[in-house]
Amino acid sequence: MHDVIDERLARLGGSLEAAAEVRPPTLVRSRGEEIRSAHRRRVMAVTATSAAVAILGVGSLAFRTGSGHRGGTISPGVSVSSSASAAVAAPSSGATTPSGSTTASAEPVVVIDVKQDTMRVYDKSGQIVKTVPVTAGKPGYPSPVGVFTVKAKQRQATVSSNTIGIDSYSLRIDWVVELDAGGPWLYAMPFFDGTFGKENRTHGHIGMNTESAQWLYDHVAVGDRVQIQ
Amino acid sequence: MTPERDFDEFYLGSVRKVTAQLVAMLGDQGEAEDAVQEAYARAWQRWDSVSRMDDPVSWVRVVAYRIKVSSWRAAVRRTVAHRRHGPPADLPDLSPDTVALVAALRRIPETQRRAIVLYHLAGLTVEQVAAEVGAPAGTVKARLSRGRAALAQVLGEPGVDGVKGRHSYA
Repeated sequence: MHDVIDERLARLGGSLEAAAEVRPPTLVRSRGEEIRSAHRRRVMAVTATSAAVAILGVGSLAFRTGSGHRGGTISPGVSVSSSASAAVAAPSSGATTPSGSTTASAEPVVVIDVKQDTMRVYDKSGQIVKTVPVTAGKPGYPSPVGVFTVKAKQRQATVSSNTIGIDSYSLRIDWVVELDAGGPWLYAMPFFDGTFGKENRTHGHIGMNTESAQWLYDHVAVGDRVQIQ
Repeated sequence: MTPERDFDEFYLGSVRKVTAQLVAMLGDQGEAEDAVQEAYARAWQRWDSVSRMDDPVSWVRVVAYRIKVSSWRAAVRRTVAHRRHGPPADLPDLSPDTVALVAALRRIPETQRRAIVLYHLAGLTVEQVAAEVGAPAGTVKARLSRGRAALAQVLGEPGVDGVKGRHSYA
């Protein structure tokens, strides 16, 4: 007997497959190597803060980063002109900011268009230096728009989460440019290769290929303006 | 071929299917994805032996399933943190029919659900299902036909014919 339920079950596999979010194999392997080290720390979700985002498929930019950095002086030139979606934005301190690098130019140095999936980088005289295809927040996880300031740069960052319940993830991301005021991070997302310039795939952060991320890392300074539109 | 490439090929070739099956078995996309990732990580951890198995995919699926089951106890505790930091919503990208079916599966007994998923979604034979869940083939057949009947009842849509009918599992 041909049955409706059989058909529905048959279709179910396909649609669940299509919706499955897949992390890049390199991350899975690095996780596997981490298990090897007998010491399994359980990272508190709290310390994850800015972390738990993006590649873990956990959370969105709805919860703001920055609470981990207290003390220090509030960077000058952090005028928050972000739109509604970027919300409240307590100006973060410059705890991770190298001193003397707050020579923010008035005009945005980086303009990211989340609809065109492109990032244009300008020099100080306003000439376009480079256009980079990017991927931004997917539907339901839009990247915050507005003007942000580069808060810090990290050659490599570790993001962690304990969503597994029994173990913690700890993964490395490269060439990270952090924005203030609850803005997204800009970093290398080799695992989303193929979406740059074409499709919005992240949970709010801005991703690009490794080469471009490294280039950006080298070219922007803390204090530079980044406009996301 | 390096072990890394070997593993990556295995992973990329099977992870979507295994994830889909675990979502159907566990009824929660986020949990299933996490369990599956963890299972693959463990496969890499002992890739030497896993890669030589007859059916590494089955190994990963079993491990993922066990990871989830063993973490059930912690689930209540985790729920709070999960809400605060976790995925905003279950099953965000799925069609209503898919969501309804996953929800229906969640309402039938666990052993039946697992058998149904392995047979209907993973496409295993009754014998393969039996080997994977560690039960006799006769038991698996019973779980399949009861599970199917239960599913039909839960779905209970008017116009679904044969809801009471017994499907024969060879």
